[in-house]
Amino acid sequence: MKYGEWEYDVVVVGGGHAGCEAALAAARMGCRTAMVTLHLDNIALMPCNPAIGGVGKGQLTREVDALGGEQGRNTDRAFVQIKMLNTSKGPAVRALRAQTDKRLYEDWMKVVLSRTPNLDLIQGEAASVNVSRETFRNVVLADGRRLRARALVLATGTFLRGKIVIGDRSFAAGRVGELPAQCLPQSLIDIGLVLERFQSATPPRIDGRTIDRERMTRQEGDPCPLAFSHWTRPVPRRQMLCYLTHTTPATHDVVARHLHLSPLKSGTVSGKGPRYCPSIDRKLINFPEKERHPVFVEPEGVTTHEMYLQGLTTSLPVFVQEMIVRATPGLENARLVRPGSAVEYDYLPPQQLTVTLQSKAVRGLFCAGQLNGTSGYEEAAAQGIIAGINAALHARDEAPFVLGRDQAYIGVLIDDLVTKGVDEPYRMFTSRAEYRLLLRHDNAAERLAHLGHGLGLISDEQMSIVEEKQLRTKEFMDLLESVQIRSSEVTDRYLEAMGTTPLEESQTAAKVLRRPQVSFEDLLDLMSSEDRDRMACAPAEVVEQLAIQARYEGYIRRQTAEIKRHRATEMLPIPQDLDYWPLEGLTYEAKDKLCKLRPATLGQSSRVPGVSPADISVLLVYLHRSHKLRENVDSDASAYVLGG
Amino acid sequence: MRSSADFVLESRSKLVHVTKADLLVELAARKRPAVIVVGAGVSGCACAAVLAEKGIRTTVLNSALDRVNLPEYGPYLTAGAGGWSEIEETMDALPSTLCQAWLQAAAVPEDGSPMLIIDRRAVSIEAKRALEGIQGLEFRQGLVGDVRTISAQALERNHHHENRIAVETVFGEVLEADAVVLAVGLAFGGHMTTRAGLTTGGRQGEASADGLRAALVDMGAQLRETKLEVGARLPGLGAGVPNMTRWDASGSKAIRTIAVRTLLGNCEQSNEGNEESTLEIARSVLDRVLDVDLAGKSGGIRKWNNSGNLWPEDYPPAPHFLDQLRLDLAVINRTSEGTTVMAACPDGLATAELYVSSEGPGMARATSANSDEGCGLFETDETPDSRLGYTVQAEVVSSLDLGGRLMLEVMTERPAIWVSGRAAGAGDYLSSLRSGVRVAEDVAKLFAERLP
Repeated sequence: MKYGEWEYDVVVVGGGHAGCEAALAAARMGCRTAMVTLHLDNIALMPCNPAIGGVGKGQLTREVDALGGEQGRNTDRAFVQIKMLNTSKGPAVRALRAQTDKRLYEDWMKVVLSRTPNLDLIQGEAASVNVSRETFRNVVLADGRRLRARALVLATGTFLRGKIVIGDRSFAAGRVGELPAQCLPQSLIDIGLVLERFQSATPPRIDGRTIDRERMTRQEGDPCPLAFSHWTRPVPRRQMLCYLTHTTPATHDVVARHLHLSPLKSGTVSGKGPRYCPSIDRKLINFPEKERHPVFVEPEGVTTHEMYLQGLTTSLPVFVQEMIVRATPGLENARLVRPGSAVEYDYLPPQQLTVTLQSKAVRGLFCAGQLNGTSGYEEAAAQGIIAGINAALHARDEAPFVLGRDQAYIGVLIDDLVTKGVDEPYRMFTSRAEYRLLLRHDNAAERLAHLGHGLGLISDEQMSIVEEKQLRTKEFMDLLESVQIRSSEVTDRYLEAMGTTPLEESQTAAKVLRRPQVSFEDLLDLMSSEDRDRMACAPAEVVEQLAIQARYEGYIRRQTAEIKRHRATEMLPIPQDLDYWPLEGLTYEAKDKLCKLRPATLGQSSRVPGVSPADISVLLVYLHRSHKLRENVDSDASAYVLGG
Repeated sequence: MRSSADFVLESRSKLVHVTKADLLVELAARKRPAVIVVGAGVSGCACAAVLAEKGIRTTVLNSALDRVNLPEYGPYLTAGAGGWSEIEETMDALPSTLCQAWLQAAAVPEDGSPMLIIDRRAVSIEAKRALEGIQGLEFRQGLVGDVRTISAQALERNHHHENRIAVETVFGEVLEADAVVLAVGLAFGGHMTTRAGLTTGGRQGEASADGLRAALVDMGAQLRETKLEVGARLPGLGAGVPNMTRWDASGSKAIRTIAVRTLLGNCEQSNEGNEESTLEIARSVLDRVLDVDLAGKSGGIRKWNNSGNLWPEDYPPAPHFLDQLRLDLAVINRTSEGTTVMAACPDGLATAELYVSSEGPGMARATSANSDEGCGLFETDETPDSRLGYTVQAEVVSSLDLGGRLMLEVMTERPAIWVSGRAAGAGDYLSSLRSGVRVAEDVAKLFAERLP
């Protein structure tokens, strides 16, 4: 072997949230893995919000955890405040959100990476990706070192030709103070990938000692212990406070008067920005009628006074930022520590990828994270772990790992990305999932841990904890089905007091629990003393499951049936070399789109923009016929029912 | 009746909701001299801390506020001929909280060699916390593109009828001050040489300060070349370093000993088989090291504590990872073709990386591009270096007086520019620290009559 060359199974480029998960997954699956990053002091940084989770995103983090990822566990180590969101709403939209000490988060991630066998951490700039016969061969670093591997995961975040913009100023940087990757983009274009520009932004940070806490609303964490990871035992921890204030017409006046200086207006920023995390300038353009917008003031950690102003994202000139902040109640004397800024960067339109996050142009090349046009640490981690797993499987010549839309938010995320593409940085919402009542944050481990276990990412011990919970839940559910609540005057009075109707006749406890007014504790009161004794020992996490399963039983059953019905067509594979052009009955547009995108399954085809249900029927008939010819198996076309 | 004070209150959005009393405080504060320290490295932080302690309004301007006081070029401070007293005197001169930040992140070698082995991350985090706790010291994110004087006539509000100095950041911000301290490290015309060639900048991944350098040259400052060799980082114990022989306890004193702090539990997991003895040695060394009392210095190295004012006292179960880690020591030595080769220094608690010293007897670990033989000495077929060694070449300001003040023929009156740390020619961390303190004292002397 020539000096300066090393052999790996998987090389990961990037040390952010996607890169860390990808590297850990591949290494834990036994692959010899290298993680290359521009600076080994900058691992798992949180350059924007010092928080993990939230509605939609919290589900992703739980799913990453259930597959054996690190984000959830690491948040449990580093959080300074944690709370359950939407507790008054249905279980599908409940989610965890945590504020973290970002330095601590980085440190712990580095501890974990450093102690993972099979994983080498290498500081360097990936300069060129070398490909021959449409297959990834090696990556060469700017310092001349060459890393050969079976698979490469690119998780470069905002570093491809990154440019920071504040007002009319702009300079090359991946994050403020860090030089971007200048060589890699050209190399990616040379191997046949297409790059486009996106833009994102971050609010200013202020000195927490210069804010008037009295004039803002305190935002506390939940007092009961909570944890992201299924396998973290939650312990009570003293939490830090966040504060809520609102912009006022005075704030808006400042913005309006200086809007001509906004990079959005002046054209300094050309890339498309996130619709769902808009800057204050954009909010004013888009919602001129709103008199106020919320501003959350969040701590950046326990060792610093710096605070993050969620809701005041802006890339206006610094003096305007100062005025905007100070026109906001409670922040009149706030001192800026870091100005807000926008970052413009190259992203890879994700329709160039398959559902395994592998490039269609280059075998063995996987892409994850913000590079794929997403925003958020959770979306990044979710893609990272999938890319890492698939890179490892690719390196071992094993079948890829794909999560369906009916299995996980991760499945929804990736299917959306690779099928529909993105026209702005993609952010996860519960509304993106068809089966969100099944894809809850509370059952992520039950849904996915066995898959993680099969991949070798979840230990036997961890798996047994999940199985134990499932077993106990089933046990107690059966018990609930068997226990009868007798109709009596006392019971009826009790039920009426809760605002529900009396029992007509004796009912099973499960049925009574279905009433939204009746909590599990209420139910215990209604039981006979011996039943109560048997039920009362149910652990809290089991009680949560019982309540959800009883209350939403009908919906869950319906969604499960729907999934079962759709799965056959959804997962019907389409040969990757299928020539769409000779197929009769397909519209020209459908042929064009399908040819370009090359969906892997019929389900994916049905979501391609420009492909109609009629096109799908044609495809279905064709696939069925060719399937029958090939396999010579008798099957019934009517068994396939169209989805969507 | 509206007083003029009320008018001032309204005229400045900054002060809209402030009372008259606040205004008086503000006006009084404005009389105090203001100094901008450009750069938040080892020297800049020491300088800023001393300045603020002396009552000077100090703004630390740095582009990466998550890399404050982060020793980039290696995780240890070594004393020269001065030995331990050099270390002690340097630490003594620092404000107590900053001194504590350094000492809490430090371990000392078992053989008593005068050096502090530093957890780089820990000293960075703790020093930022310490500095934030000093009244009158502010951090500001920004990358300086220009520095220039503003004449007294050009200033609308000037309390002292003196020239001031302005620095302009690449963000388009202009900050004014009575004096500027440049503690920019090796960012003037900096470039790094690795085996493969050149990259620009004085630190990996950071741009060099071209605009600032040009402004200084225009003013008439003189620069000279300097060079620094930076060792490589090996992947560390956990990953296993081939060709590296473990230290034999009987080999002892001639060899510099090294402290490696690791997560105890994880260390045990990853130290299987023959590495067990390393751990045993580590433990025995640990006890001895902890007995070394750095002349009863504040804080000391005895424990990691969280006595800082920000950390909640009852923050259970101490999630700050420093509290969950135990200090373990491992000692490594290796030989190569009969030559004793210096071994490695741990790069911090949160990593397994080992910094390979480029100092000491029989140094064979060449880090410059010029030496093919030395480069990659530790790199093996199995494992590349985590970070390559490199040589930094940069310019330092040579036309300085003894206090670190820039000597300019054309401008001898205020305002003044000082240069501290590596940018002023300091060759190591201890001299950088001392240089920062000395400059701060010199600056304070100039403004003595305006200080409380």
